Amino acid sequence: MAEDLAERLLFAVARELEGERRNAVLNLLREVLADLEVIERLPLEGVEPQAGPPQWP
Amino acid sequence: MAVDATELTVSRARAEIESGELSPVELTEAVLERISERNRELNAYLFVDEEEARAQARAAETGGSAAELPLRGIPICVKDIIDVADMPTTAGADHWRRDPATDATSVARLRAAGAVIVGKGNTNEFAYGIDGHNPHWGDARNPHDPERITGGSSSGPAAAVAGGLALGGLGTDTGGSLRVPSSLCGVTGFRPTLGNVPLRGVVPLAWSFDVAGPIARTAEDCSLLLDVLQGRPVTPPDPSPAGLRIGLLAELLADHSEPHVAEGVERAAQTLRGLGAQVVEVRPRDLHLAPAVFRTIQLVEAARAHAKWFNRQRERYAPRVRDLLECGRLLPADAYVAGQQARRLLVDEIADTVREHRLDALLAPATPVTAPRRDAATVTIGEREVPVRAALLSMTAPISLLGGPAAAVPAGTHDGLPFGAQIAARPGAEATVLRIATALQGADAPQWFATTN
Repeated sequence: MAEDLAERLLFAVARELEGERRNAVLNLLREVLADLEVIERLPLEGVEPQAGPPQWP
Repeated sequence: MAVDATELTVSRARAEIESGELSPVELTEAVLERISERNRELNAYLFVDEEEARAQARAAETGGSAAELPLRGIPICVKDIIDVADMPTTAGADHWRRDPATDATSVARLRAAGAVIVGKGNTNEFAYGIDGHNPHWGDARNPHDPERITGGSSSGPAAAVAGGLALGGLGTDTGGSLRVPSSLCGVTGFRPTLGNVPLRGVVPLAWSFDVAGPIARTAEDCSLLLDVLQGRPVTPPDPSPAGLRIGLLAELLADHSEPHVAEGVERAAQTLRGLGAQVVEVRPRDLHLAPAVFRTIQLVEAARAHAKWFNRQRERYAPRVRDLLECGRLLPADAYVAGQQARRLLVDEIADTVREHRLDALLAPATPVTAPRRDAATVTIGEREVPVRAALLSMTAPISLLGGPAAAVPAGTHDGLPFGAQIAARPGAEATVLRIATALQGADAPQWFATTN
């Protein structure tokens, strides 16, 4: 997901923003994409998303 | 006798008002005087209604008993993302405002309990920040050193309580916005279980994590405020931590906190052992991934919460908030769902750790550092330079994922600057957190509670 997303997001930022703002959002997006890579490495197969307040088992 | 608002706790003021030793009018006047002396420097309040505060205090003079009006005459600072009738809500922005005719539910509960609502406290713009910076109205300043940040986003209530400009504060917490400024300002902040305090009348940031809760000088004070905010008693019948099993989140100490903070939290653990609790080190497997999970979810929810306003006036948002919202609106649904899957995984892992070690609560630092200087971009932790915002969120965002209550309580000072310990427990276990927090500030424990003059 992160790799495919990186291409789409960076393209969207380049299209929509200019100058300093583009750089700031790009830097932030790179951090967020790094977060997503971390998330993707987790064993999420079959895990239900948290919906609403957590109820501890 | 002159009233010194910097020395009073909610608990003591309540007792003195009940016995007739202190009058609500005297107390409110003392707080208003303190505001006139120090708010220009501290910028804790964005709005103060002196005449309305005096009118509320006069009404409290003839009020009922502590049982009927448990906060009678207690001056409160309300974070400016929470509606107070007939006061503007700006959410810390200069381009957004509403003028509510009614109180947020949480404020209405405080008022019905006899509290005096003094004014609106400073905040990061839309509560979207952890450092207390506000480029529109100016930063709140840390009462322990005005050249240091307060932390945020509930910067105003924390600075007001620490500086004697209020006895209690009402704030909100998404990733640490009650606990971080409480830690850096040397006061106590309490994040309730998700959903326990109604959010009607509060500007949203991220629904998965948003809560409203109290800031005060002591855990006992937070307990009194929380009783009212939750609409039911949470005060623990037995304030002793004896018999409780507490997991010390070892990973958040070594390498992730400054040595004096780690030592302070270990000292707190030792104090609790001395009071009859068992404290064991625990290391939940993926805890270090929690900030990434938190951020992914928050980015998308905040972008959605702001969609309508942002489309109309994005250029008027502060640059940092604007960039975060811009980023959040670009993230697709599958990134958000992956974040919520990862959150479920982390909650289950921590719940497993709690079950395996038969724990009642968790203990960690509330912040890894004392208050950084206002112009600092990074802090040094061990050998690493860490961005201030990432460092400040690193201890509290993981706990926000869990949904349960958490408190920040003073745990020591370093070079005159305070830092806090954080206590967390399973959803609904407010009383357990309060037992531990109260014990750390109790008569048998070292006194770290600090006010400033």
